[in-house]
Amino acid sequence: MKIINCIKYLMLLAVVSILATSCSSDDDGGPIVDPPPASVSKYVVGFQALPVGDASPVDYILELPSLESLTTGEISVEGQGTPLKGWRFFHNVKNTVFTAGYSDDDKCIAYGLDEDGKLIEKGNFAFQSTLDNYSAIDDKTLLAVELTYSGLSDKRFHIINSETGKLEKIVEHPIDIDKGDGTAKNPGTIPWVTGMVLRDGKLFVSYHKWMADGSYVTPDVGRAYVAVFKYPEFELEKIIYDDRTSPIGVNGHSTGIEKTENGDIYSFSTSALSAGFTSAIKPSGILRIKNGTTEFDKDYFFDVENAPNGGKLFWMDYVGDGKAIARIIIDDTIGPWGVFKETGNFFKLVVIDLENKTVTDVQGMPTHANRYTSPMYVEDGKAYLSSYAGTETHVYIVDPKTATATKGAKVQGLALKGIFKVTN
Amino acid sequence: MSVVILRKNSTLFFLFLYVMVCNAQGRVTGMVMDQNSNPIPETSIQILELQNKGTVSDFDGKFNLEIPSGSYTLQASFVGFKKYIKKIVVSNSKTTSLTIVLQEDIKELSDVIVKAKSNAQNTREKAFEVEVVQTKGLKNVSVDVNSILMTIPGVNVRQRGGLGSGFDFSLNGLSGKQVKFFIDGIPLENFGSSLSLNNFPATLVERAEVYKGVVPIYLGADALGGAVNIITNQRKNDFLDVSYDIGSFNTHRATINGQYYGKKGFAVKVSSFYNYSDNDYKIDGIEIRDELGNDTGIRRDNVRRFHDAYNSQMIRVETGFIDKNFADKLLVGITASANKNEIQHPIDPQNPFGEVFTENDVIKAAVTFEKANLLKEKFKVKLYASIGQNNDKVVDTSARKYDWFGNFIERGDQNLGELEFSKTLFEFKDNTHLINAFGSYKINDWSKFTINYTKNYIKRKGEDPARIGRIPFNDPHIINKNIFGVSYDLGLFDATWNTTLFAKGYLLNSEGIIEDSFTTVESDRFTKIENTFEELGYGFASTYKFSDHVQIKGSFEKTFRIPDGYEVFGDGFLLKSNPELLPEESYNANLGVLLNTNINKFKLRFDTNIFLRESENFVAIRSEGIFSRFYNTAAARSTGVEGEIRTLYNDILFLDLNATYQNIIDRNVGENSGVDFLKNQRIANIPYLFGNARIGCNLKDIFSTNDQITFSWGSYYVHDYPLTSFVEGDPNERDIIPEQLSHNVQLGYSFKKGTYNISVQARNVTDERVYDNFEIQQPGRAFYVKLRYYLTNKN
Repeated sequence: MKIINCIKYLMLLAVVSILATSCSSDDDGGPIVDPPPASVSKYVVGFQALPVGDASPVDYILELPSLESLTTGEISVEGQGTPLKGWRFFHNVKNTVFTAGYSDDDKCIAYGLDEDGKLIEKGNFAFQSTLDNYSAIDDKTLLAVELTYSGLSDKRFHIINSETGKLEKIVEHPIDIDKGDGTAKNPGTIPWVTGMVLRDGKLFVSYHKWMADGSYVTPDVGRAYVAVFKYPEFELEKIIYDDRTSPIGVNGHSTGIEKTENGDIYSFSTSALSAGFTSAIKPSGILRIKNGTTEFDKDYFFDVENAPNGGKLFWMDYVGDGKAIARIIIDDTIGPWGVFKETGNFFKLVVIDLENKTVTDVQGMPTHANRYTSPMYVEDGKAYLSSYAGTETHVYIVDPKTATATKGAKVQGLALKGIFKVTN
Repeated sequence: MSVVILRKNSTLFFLFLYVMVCNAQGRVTGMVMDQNSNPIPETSIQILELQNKGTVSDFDGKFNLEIPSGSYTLQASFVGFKKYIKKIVVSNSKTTSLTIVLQEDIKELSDVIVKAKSNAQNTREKAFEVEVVQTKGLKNVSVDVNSILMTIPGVNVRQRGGLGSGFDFSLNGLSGKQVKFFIDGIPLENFGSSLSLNNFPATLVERAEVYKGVVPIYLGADALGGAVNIITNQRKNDFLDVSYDIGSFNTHRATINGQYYGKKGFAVKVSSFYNYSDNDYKIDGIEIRDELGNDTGIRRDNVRRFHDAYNSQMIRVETGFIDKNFADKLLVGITASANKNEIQHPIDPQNPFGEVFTENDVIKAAVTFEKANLLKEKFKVKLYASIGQNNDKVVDTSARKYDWFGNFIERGDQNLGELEFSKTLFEFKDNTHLINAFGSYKINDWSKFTINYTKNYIKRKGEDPARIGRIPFNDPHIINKNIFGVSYDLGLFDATWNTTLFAKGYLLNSEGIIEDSFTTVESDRFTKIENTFEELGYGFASTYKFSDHVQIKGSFEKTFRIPDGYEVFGDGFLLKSNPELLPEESYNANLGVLLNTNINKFKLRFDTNIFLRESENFVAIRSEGIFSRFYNTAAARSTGVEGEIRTLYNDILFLDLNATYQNIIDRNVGENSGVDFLKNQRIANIPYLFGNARIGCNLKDIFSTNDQITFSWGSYYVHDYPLTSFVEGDPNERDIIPEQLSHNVQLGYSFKKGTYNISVQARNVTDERVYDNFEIQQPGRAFYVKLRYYLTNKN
């Protein structure tokens, strides 16, 4: 495999050098006209390495030459990739990949390709406290929000320019804080953002709530809620509620609400005690906010928990053509935050048809663990996911049309935290 | 005639006298020891007037002579010590008792290593792989114990800043809780940062013993990777030793060490230190950010650390009786210590703090009893018991975000702390008690049986007035650690082949109450957890002396580190329990050679050791959502070689060199994951090649008799090593802790037989950028001056 990789790189090198030399020979004669530089595309992954010794796993940013690197062979950071500090999030806005530290590092770094197609750091900024939720709200903007498990302070939205990698503005807003009365019995509640979607000048923000005393107790679990802001003014228009399911989203995931091609917004609610909620009284399910409206669609609710092949959703991400890919918790009784371990057989993978409200088990994908998932990479209608099953991690290529997964490249690490394609 | 008669008479007189004396022999008994009150065996004792009368001291330094009554001159001599001469009067049928303290002959010493058979040499020649550092020559220099231990092969100390900063002590590749520390044989593990080694100036310490991997039973602890035993004053004379030193970064250190012996065996001992430093040294490469936090690309050098001050103080008072019928030593003592440590930054130095600090205070009362020569002088016993309280506190009550220039902004979320996710005044109180019982029975001249028992009990309770709701250790946790040891010592072939066989029993009980705040069933809310570990360790150490010049040593131990209570059952809050956690265990082996030789005026000592540490079940923390939990992780193997050469020419010039190479691998990761290139992969972020060099001279009788000038140049080298991996990542992009080569220079002057001492030291004299940890810069060039006054009634 190493040899194959080597040959691949040599071939790539050869191609690049031929291009380079042909360019320079072009330049030799005639008037100096800069030819339009050939556009270069690369795949960039957030690679979580296996921990050696008693250290914590290290995250790398690694470039891959082609889609084939994801589908066959091995993906490794042996001799390549850039090590980063501490546990990290990975997100992208078009051709910029962002990676932000969780607790050991307080920097968010932007990477992109330079004119020569080389992966470079575009810029970075330091934040005050962990940015826990991210969304590419348009082609130029990453929106990231600072959240806390206790305290009554405003949530801080960071507006980041993806072209420069710079933080441009911070907007503070309480979203939905109940200040309580300061006593142990009534300490108040605070929102925890789980998804952000911008549509027609309106920012939809899904969240669940914590008690403000740092007890990690989730109150108000009998309904789902989404705050609707005027954007970019960040004026709160209203908060919409729906009591057919529980609060939207799961800690660590940024896809609590997502927009489809036709502008509809779908949400997922977990109601799972193993996924960070301390009580669950409504079924796990999916709601919709139709395009052009700012209310939950009263005519739409998909009770995934009680559907055939269903169960409690841990994660869901829209793939296209009215379909989403989701992880369903196999056993919700394994204890608080039980499915957040790095390894285990916690989930099955399913395809959800949002319109027709069906759940189909994905064939070819074993039960697995996956604590953290960046927004899924989709190319030609197929989703590329990294999952740890048995003792190994592979890229799985999921075809939502047939609900089948094929095992792709072996990841010589714990996980690919994010898969992205960038073009210069 | 008269003359003849007189002669006859005198002959008769002498005959008479002789007969009388024969009938009335006197007895001289005594004990020979060094300045540290360690017995010196095989000292030659002679009565100069009686040419054939003499003896040598036994293994315990004792001797016994029967001579006629009269006045004599007694001489005691031993290689490496000054001759001791004393007039004695022996009277009829009486026993004259002497305590002879031999003074080390300075000419025989390089300033650290006692070339003679001092106590240090005896320890070194034990079968265990042990390094001994005498601090004698370092007492005049501004150094703490850590910086002395750093000069030992196999030892690496990584500092995170200036005076008082946190440090990682590693011994042959094992570190953290795997290496245990002792003071005078008593474990330090339950005492906080105010009593850690970096607080102790060399002035308060006689010597340090570093046991590599294989630890004798009298150091009772679950030491996976070896142990360090700091020996404080054991002298039996009156003295007062006062020192003060002042240096760069507003550093002040003072010590008082003294004792008084009354005539009736009553003794008082006091030792105390005070340390203070602003630690405001300058560091480089600080990122300049705009008001939103964007990197401007500008980097600034020579930025002063502004919130890194440290102070610590300790006092220990002991009183009791020495050399009485009922006890060789019976002392009660109280130790009190405290510190305050400002924290300048977390792991990442780009992110400074301006207000957070920690505090530790300790109070401890102890009683010590020692008695030898029981059961027909064959049984020796030592007992120790103490109770104490240790409080550790984090004061993190500021939501401000500081920059490196001391400016700050109030953060949007006023609930945030600087160090912690939310403001905290977290404090844990540990109530401890400790019992150590040691007994040694001499079966015959060549064998000995020893037992040791150590009980280490701690009850931990957490408090946090700054938080409502749940806090760690809300319900007390108890750890009760019992270590039993037995050993058998055997010396064969005139004690040229010495072997120790030993076994250790480890028994640990922990108990606590865990609250599950997430449960919906009220009866499940509180769970009492109890946990017991029982393990049996064993080992041996053996040494053979081919001659006075060549000795080989081999030792082996199967040893354990038992997980602490909170590692097993968490802190009752976000650190969850793992009842399946196994002890860390290790097979440790050493094989070493010692060579000594004197060629004319040139003295040479060479010492080398190869080591193996085959360890399993390393305990490390892993996160799970908001929670974390301790797991057994890596199985490691550390192999290496260390060596040391010490030379002395003409008793004036010395040159010491040592180096360590170690290869530490993870035996699991590649195997378990099926990733070939990670099989037996080296573990990163541990120095693997390092060494020391010291060159210098001691000149005597320069300006006056009994004065001394000492000059030395010491260099410390650590090869560069990667932070995260030896193989992963683009070699040009890997994070590297760069090569370190720093130099310390010192010049000292002592006069009036060491009563007055002054020394000047320059550390990091070439002002290198030195890093012990990734991107955390150590102090640049610094100067210290130390004054020391030493007064004693015996010289």
